[in-house]
Amino acid sequence: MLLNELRVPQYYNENVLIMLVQKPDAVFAYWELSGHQWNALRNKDGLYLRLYSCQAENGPDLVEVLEEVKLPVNCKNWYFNGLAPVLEYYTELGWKTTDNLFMPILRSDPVVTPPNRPDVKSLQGGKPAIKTIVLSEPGGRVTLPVATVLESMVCYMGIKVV
Amino acid sequence: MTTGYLALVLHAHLPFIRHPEYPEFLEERWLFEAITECYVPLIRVFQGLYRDGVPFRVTLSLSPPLISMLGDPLLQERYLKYLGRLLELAEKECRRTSGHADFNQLARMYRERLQEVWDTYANMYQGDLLGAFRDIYRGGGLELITCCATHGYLPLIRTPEARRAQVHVGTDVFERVFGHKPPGMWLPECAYLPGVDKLLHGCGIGYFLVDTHGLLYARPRPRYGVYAPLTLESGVAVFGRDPESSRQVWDRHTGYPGDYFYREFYRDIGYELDENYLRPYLGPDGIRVDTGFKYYRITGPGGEKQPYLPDRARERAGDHAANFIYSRTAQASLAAPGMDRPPLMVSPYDAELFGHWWYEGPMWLDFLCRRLHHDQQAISLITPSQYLEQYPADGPVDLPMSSWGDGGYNEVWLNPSNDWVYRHLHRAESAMVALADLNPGAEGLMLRGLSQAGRELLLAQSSDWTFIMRTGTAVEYARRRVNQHLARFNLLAEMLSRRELDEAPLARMEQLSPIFPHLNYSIFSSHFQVAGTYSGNSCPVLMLAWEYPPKTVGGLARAVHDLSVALARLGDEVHVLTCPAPGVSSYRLVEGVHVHAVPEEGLNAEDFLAWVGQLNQGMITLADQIISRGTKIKVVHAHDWLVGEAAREISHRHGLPVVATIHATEHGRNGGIFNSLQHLIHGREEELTGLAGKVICCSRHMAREVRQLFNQPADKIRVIPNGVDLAALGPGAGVRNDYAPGEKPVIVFLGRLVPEKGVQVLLRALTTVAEAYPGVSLVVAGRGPYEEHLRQLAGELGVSGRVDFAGFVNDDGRNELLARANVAVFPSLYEPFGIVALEAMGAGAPVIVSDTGGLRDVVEHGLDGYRAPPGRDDLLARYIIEILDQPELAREMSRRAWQKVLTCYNWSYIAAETCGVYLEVIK
Repeated sequence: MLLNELRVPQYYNENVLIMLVQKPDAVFAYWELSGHQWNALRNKDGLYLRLYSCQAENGPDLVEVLEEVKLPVNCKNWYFNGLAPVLEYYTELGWKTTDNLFMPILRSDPVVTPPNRPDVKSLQGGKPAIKTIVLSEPGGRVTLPVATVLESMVCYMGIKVV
Repeated sequence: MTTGYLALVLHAHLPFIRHPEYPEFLEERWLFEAITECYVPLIRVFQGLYRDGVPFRVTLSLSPPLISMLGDPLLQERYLKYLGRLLELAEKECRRTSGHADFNQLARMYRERLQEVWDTYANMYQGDLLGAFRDIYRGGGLELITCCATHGYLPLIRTPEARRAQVHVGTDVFERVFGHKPPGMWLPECAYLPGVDKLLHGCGIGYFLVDTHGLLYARPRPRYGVYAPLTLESGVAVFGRDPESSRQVWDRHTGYPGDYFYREFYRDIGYELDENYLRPYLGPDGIRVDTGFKYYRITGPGGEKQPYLPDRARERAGDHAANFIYSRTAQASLAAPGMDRPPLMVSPYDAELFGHWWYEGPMWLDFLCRRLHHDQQAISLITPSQYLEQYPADGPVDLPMSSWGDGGYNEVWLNPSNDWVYRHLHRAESAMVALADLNPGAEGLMLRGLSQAGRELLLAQSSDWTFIMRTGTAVEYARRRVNQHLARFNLLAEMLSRRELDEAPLARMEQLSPIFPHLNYSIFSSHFQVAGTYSGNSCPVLMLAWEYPPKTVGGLARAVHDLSVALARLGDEVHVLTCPAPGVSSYRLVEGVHVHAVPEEGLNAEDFLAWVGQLNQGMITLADQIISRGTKIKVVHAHDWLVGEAAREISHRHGLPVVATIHATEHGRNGGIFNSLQHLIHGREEELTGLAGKVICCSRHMAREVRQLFNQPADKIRVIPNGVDLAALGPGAGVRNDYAPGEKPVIVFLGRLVPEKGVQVLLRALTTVAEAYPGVSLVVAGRGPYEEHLRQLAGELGVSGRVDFAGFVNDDGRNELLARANVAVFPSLYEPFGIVALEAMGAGAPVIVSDTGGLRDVVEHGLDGYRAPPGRDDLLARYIIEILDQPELAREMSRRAWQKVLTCYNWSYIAAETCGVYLEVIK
């Protein structure tokens, strides 16, 4: 057997729907349906993916459908963009009955998007935080807000991915 | 006088690349180039500082793959060959450039440098660079830390077990080589995910680093910004990257490495000279590669380059070191007045920047350390550990997810160029956890197979592969590596699950990837930490429960019984204090558990609350007696509010910590608090949770309910599910093969007949199911005050003839019912845990539950059953029909459900986990 020639299979014949956080305003979902599940969907009119948000503090009881996508054929994953940070999200993959009732067949675990700015409500010790950073530029020292410095930083091995 | 501190943290890492199957391999050069241009030059800088008596403090992270490669004999041997060829090329270059003064001077410089590398690598350390780092560490100037096992990107690793394996294996590799635990950890890509700190804490690691925004976005907001570390709830400290010092070194336009006098990286003779001349020094098949002989300086933005002038470059490195100190001094003097401690600037860099990308980097570092020592006093070098020793960090804070990648989060490692890997990686993670859970204590070939499966998974998880796919160079190699490791994993997993392991491919895999020889696959088990915590500790416990078999009213008796027996089996001394039961003596030793009943005569009050008072008084007296006989009880474990009073008094009298399990709340049972009795019970529940050092809840739902109702901190609450005794489910337990519904499918419900169990919803759903399956019937097993109402409702709905109210069933009756159920339905409106659903899953029946309470933790929708919204009979009916229509799908779900019960709801694991909670409160 040539171990170096082995490759991962295209399918595992399993039901799965997983969601991952990409960034504060985007999440990613991927899925697979088993052969038996596809059989069960034989006469259904396509698959739908729904994105829900819920208040992280209150758990999945207060939910809202944010987006519903009718999935293209052979679609295996989806990115949802333009979301709010610090919020809990989950997705459902399902089909619709003739009377337009959404029937979820898979539901992802929830994920929480991270913040994209400092927390405005809390401050350690109640004292003002350091808000600016001094930069030594060729023309002398300049003081800039933290956020400005962060936005202009070139990260990771000097490689800015575009 | 020190105004501020500077912590230089270098992270040395390369992915594990070792190909014994080829005589030489292009990507192995990544290591060889880094040794020549970065690691040995850095070692020589540190040696020079010691030699000249210049004190310094630098932190160096050595990643486990790098440690493994530096210690690998094959790669050491190959490196020496590589270096020998470079020396040969240097000789040729000295001859070739003899007519060109500038280039000849450079060729001779390279020859001298390479000779120094040879002296250090071959003569001084005989190929053992880890020994060199160990020596420098012993000199006191270098703090050594490490990273995760294969640089796995933690926020995108799905299971906590696989994240833990990354952290533990990394720590273990480091400890074996350097003889001590790493004081800190460089998280791969500085990527943090809430909870990772607890894994670090579990390995004895004291700190880690995040990017600037990762720290600034902590809650509460840090008052000193990135100028001081913070601590998390776990006690682990976190440092934030100082953005300005990063920019000065990193930025390719304004940063130091872009200086026009520094060496140009992209002009290498490997791409410029005649192929025949270069052939012995090129890659396999004559691929043009970097040789390290670069004769030009950056010169300017255009393509025209001037010869490199080493002396001018050296001057610039000195100037830049001075400028760096000047900038830090300015920063510190501005920040210091607002702080109660000297500000700390943390400057983390990839070590390979120094020497490889930025040729003058090691020289700059040398100048920096010397100037800091000789020229000034405002800024002192320090390591993160030393800063923490002197200035304890503020906290605790909640730290959000972040990384130092472009955009600051996960985008570099999760985008359309690489997102395909996660389906395969996550599946392998889950499979590895299941294999570890199902094969505890494996030996021989199974042990080898499981451990190699763990290695292949870890190697596939390396963040380097997804990073390379994103940046677009060497993509094919990264894709191949991910494919190879995952495919090997899949092959092993398939053989392991059949328990038919073929040794030949296994041995070959071990030979191809001999990383982590000490890896123990049990690190992937979902029960690993628990077992580790528990071993060698015994906690004699007083278990307070108002009901205990044979007295069984609700689910509490059985849960306390199964837990007590499992604890006793683990070697704990368990004393249960409970109500008397007819015909049972006041003290019994049953299944290893000491059961003490409160005397019957003391329980004569007619008023319920007075009776509860008597019960508690009886328990207090029993506890006094047990302890006075010399039993060294260490903890009191109280189950629900009924025994709260006794728990408080026993704790008070004997100075014992209390653990409370809240099985259900009065508020949850009634959907609110409506009368004075409920109010009183609610108050007692609040008292008990307040009194307890830790509160155990059986589901995430209950944990949230308890946290919100009684205003308890999240960290005080532990979620530990109840277990299922598969043996009690009879010989029929397990995966069945007979789901075909045939003419007369059977739906089964088991439970008390009270409104919150939702049988009324099921009856309404039955009318719809009957349209599709005219022969369908429903067995309702259980008794309760709501039975008459339900019978009446069945009549009104016209389904009386289909419903069999079977009354109370014992264990055998339950097993028999579940064995012939086409589907078991639990349509509860309120359900703290839902043990019956688990029992049905253990018995192999397909299940549909309400999407509520603890049932949410038990059933994953579409994977091992369905969850219907509570009260929605229309949706419930559709899911029932789906199960009846699709017997193959039902079988698939049942198989997964059964495996889950087998691995996640095993009482012995649950008991060990409970004991872990005891140990926490005893501390």
